[in-house]
Amino acid sequence: MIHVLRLRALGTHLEVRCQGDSAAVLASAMRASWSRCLDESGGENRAADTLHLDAHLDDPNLLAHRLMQTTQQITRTLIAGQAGRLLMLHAGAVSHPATAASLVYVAPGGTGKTTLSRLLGQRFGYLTDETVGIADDGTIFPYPKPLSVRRPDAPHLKDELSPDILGLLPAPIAPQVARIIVLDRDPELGTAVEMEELSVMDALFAVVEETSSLSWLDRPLHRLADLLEASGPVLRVRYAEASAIEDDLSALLAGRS
Amino acid sequence: MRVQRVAAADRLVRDGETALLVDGMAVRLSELSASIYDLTEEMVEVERLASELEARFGAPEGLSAREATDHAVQDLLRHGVLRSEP
Repeated sequence: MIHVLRLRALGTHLEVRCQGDSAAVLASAMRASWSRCLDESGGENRAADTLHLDAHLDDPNLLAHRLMQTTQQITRTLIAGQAGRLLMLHAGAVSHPATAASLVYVAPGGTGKTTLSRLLGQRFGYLTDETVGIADDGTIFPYPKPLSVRRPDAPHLKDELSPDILGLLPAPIAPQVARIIVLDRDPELGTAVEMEELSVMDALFAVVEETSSLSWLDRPLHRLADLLEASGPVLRVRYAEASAIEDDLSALLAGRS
Repeated sequence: MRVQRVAAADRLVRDGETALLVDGMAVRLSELSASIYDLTEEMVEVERLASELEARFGAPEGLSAREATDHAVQDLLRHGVLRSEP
């Protein structure tokens, strides 16, 4: 039997068809971990361009691995579906619950976006720890996916933890980009934090490496530069531990609210 | 050798600096490289390019205009901004 999970994320709709001998187990686990993205409208108002993805599970002992892989597949499918529509950054983001002013932290994978999202999400609305999709007018389409947290005893495996389980605040309506920073994690820094303002061109080249499907947009460099200027100056933040920058970043966001 | 620029998805100029998006890659151009890009809409001999650049920027220090142009052209070829033919 096929179990269908309907998600709404990154400004679009996605149906995940869970199949296999343990399809029910997979669908149940996904329903829990993807709690913030579930589309409970019943499907009546589904868009014609709904994306589709198959996820297969036979052996329930492989559930964690399948969940991790499915998260990656969902992200890739959503990004492909929004290519040419949204400016998409490999970044985490949180949003002020009262003003919807949002902080976007751009960084390559494995450099602290998820950890920072867990911390900042206690004070601000959690938008994503992976991909920020931005419309022409600076509106962010949230992608509040489960947070992929590496297991200490099995570093190749990540647990997909619901933002609800972690107690992260919900995204406000229509979050807007207020500030963009580039994370530069350096374990040698200890408790020191370095912040540097970047020129528009330096910021563009720091951020452009962390975009997805940029070439699909109309006048892509102009669109990115316009965003960086409107929310600038972009800061490069060098740090070792997320806890060392939590207060600085909170103040940064409060200052733009 | 003759060179011609490759079509860019976008060209951005800010504060006197130029960025190009070519084949999905962003490339930052110096003032000299940006001029080479401007001058290569059609296939152009590198020798003629060197003369044009010397007229615009003056003689470079420590090397000939041709050598300076060759260095910049090779760099742009490596980044896929120019294509060449013998």
